[in-house]
Amino acid sequence: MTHPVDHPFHHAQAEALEARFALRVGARLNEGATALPHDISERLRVARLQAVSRARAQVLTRPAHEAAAAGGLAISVGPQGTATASGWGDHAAAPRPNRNKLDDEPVTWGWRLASLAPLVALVAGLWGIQAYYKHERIRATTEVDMALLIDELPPAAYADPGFEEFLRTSASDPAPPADMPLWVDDLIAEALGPAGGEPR
Amino acid sequence: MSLTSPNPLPSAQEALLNDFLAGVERRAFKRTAYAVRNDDAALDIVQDTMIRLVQSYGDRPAAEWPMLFQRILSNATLDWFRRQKVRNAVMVNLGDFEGADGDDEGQDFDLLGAMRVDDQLAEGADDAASRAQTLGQIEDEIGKLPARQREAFLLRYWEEMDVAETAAIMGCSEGSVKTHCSRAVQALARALQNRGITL
Repeated sequence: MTHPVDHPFHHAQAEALEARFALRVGARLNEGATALPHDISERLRVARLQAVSRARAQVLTRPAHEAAAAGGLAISVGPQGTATASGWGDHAAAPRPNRNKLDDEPVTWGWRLASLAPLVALVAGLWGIQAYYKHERIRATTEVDMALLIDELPPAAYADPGFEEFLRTSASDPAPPADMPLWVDDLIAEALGPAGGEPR
Repeated sequence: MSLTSPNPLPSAQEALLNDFLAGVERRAFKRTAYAVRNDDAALDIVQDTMIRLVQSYGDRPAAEWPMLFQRILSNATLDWFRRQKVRNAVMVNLGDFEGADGDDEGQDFDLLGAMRVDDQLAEGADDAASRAQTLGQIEDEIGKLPARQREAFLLRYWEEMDVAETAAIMGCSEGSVKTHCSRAVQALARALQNRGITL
């Protein structure tokens, strides 16, 4: 007693029936694929044409890129703009930077020099400011030194604590001249007294 | 400036490429639409596949294009699923793609009986409307198949690839292809019989 599927004949027959059924399904599906809506058919057609045109553009742009890379004559290809604009093919985009670089080289150097001008001006300005302050510092020091040197007092006197105390007290309470008469002193005391203008 | 090139695309190769794409584009669209269930997405995927083919393999012999095209189409479809934001949809479909081969054991369908019934009724003539309706139902059932089964079935019996080519495209063993195809056929036969559809 054997199961029908286990028999080689039945197994092969089942496979054949599966294939037959599947191929019939495939035939029905082909009918559906043939009867696609018009808009989908058109979109598929456009997609196919775009793909083929991109293949053409890719092959066409490859020699130009290789020639440019090898230092040969650069080839300007106009009609490939469509494919390049849609992001297709790195080969098409590669030669452009080289050509622009060569065309723009003098302008680039000019712009580079021009871009350095503000930096040069800044450095010069900082150097001038530093030189001015240095000159001013030297001039102030010279004035102090000159004042010390031409003064009647020796410079060592300013380092003496006693002389410093003398200067401080004399500045707050100036002494009257030695040859001033005594009655002048009385007059001053009377004028500055607490009674003000009261008569004695 | 006139356009000149030392290596122009051979017009014969370009024509071959165009003819090949014209021959596969409709089936590719339908197959992708079964998987992604979105016509616009299917068109995008097919266009992307065409571009990838001509970009990378346009200079290959024409005999290599069918397998390359189907492989690229499968990968592009998987990429589309990976890009989807809806995590549940991605998990369901990828889960189908990653399903184990032996998880449907014991669900054999009496295909022989179904075939006999189909054979008996296959000679009946349908009018155009009923055929269109039948086609829609078949497509519905194909869309309900697990992704791996659907891919194997369509590659094997619609694109008419052999088992080895189908296995290479799907990245699995030939035994897995046979299993997927057999289960797909049985599931389709069962579903269509339940709907009262005969082929």
